[in-house]
Amino acid sequence: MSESGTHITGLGLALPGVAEAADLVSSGERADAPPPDPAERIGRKGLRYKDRATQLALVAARDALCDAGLITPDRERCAAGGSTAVVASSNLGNLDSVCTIAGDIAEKSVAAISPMNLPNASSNVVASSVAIRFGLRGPNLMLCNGVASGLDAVRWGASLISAGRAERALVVGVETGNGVTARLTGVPEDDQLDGAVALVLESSTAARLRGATSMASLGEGVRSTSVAGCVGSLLPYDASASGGTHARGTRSGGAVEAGPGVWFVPERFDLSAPLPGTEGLERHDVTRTFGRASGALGVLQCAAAVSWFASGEATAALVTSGDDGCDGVAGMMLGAPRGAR
Amino acid sequence: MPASPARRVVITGLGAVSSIGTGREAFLSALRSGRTAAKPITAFDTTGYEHAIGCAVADFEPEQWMRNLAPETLGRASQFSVSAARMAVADAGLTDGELREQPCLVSIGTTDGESHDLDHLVESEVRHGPGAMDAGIARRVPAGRLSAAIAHELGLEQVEAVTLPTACAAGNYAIGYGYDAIRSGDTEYALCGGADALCRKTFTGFYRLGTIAPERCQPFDKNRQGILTGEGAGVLLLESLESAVARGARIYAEVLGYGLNCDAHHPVAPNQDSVARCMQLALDDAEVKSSEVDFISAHGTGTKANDVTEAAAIRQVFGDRPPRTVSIKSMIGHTMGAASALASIACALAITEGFIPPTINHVETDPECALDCVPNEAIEADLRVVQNNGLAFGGNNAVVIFGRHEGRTA
Repeated sequence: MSESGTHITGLGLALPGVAEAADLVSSGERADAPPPDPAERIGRKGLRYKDRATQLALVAARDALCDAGLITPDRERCAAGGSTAVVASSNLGNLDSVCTIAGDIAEKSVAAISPMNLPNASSNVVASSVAIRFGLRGPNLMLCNGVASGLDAVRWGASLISAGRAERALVVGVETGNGVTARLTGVPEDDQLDGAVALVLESSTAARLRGATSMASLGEGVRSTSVAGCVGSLLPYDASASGGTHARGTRSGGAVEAGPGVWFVPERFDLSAPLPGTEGLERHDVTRTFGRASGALGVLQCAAAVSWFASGEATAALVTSGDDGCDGVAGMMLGAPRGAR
Repeated sequence: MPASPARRVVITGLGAVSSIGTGREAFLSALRSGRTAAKPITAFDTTGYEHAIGCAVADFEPEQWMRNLAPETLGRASQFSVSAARMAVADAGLTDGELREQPCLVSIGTTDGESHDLDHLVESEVRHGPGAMDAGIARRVPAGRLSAAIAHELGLEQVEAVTLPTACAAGNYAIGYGYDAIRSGDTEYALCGGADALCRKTFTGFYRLGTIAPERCQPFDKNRQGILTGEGAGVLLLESLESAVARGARIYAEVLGYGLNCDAHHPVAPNQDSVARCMQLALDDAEVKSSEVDFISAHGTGTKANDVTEAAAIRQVFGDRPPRTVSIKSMIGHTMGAASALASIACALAITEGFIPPTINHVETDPECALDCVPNEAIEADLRVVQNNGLAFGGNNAVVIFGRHEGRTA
């Protein structure tokens, strides 16, 4: 692992059946766990009028910031808030709020709409609510970019840091499963993620200055039109020799030296599909455990990679979101912290 | 940070879909003449609203611009974004083939995505049950389509296509991301901007906050009564200076830098200190002194709160003699995610053509704002540095600084 670059220094999870990061490693079918209860996790204060996506994001954000040592549960205002960005990803986040409002206007009247509910219909509500609660005054944005959105958010956070626009970035992926999202996407409610994941990304300098511990380093990120192309451009193998096709795509970020031991595959990817260069890689689909994760997927996959590193299972991980039928495939390499090698 | 020196970034293509004119020439002519597009809203049923004036794009013909995708497979906002992107590519003198040869970025900001379609889907569900929802329209709804459809239309394969729902500052966010991507060498061409279509949900939200003007939008006027909602798209083609020079492209302006921050203060009310800080971040990033800014294209929505807060923030940064500060929202209404993108196009045209667009509908300047808003008539001006403000609900601020290319290399 390079000592420079961007590192994950905090992790926060609001996922069904997950009490701690280590629970992410256990794979298998989705447990019949109850959905996360935001009020139980962070108290009722400040949750009124917030939609569920925002509440879940606040839970994950609080835990990630605590985990990184940037706040404590008793002192939520982040002292380093001026140099901390927020990048949130959600494709369906406030769809229920928007549709409820649209339905009320159609069914009842203009007067049926509460001004108090208006911020929930604003597309950036998750990112801005997180900023307000924890006092994060750096760049603040949301992505709703389809299946690649979560990984794009991780990349975007890293890009804000490498461009010197923030010292650290809180990246949040959140989706909610409800009747509205089920009707509009055609995905049954019980096969949708109802949860949030947050990561604190930090430049190595910022992390070192405050004595923060790296949980993983971010390697190169690519965007391609196919899974094979994406994998081909990230893995250190000779594509021409093995007959594979190297991707032509956009790339950014640093380098992870080691070859990966685990591949977090796209949502519902065929776990036995042959793909040159991935022989011997353990494949893991987090959506088989937590449901289709849409805009939260990439963030959830990075969190899962962190817990793999912590368990000593792998020293590098390959993460891909989106498959060949999608608008785009995003990929990234992550490396274990040096001490874990 | 990249090991090689950062590259300079220039604007070489402009695409505008707006209520006062579609295409660069029509938009430019309307900006110069101070046209208005305010008319009674017909995009949705306005029964029950005391007033419903908006700035719609009339007689829009996406098939005039789109070559490869069928317009009916896209929602109205995506039709706008794809058409504006097509215009920007043509304006830059690039062929699809030349574009495909290089890594590209498509970044499009929005407030509502395809909420216009959602309005219709939900209304048919409410009236006729879930079975009545049109599957074809439901497929158009994902907001990621706004940028992905551009990549599909242009046949781009080496592309990162992102959609940013950073509400009313999203266009500037998208341009800033494009600037960083080209500057660092991650990409060669960037199609950046924003798009939104009129939708009842957003109109109603602002209406219920009491911030919709009954007839006209009057930024910085003593008797301003709020916003008019609008629609459209603005897309700018960015590339490195060396690329533009090598292919002999016309350079409208240089992107000198930008600033982003978040008030972290209130869901809807802007914060003066934080807005001022964002402007200073942008000026510092552009390595420009405040005294060098020739005019500011304000967020200037025409609400009581925005205009007085933004004006005070401008004075905080620029002192007692701030540069002329205009709002093109007086002409095109508040086009949400497209607003700062269309305003950026106006800035680029202003620099190239040597004029400052007016703030129309102006009667009497609010003494609490006390800005020279170039009332009602455009003025000729020799411009070197221009600032474009974008402020959004949630305290999401984004400010971009543009410079005249020749003026900075001489």
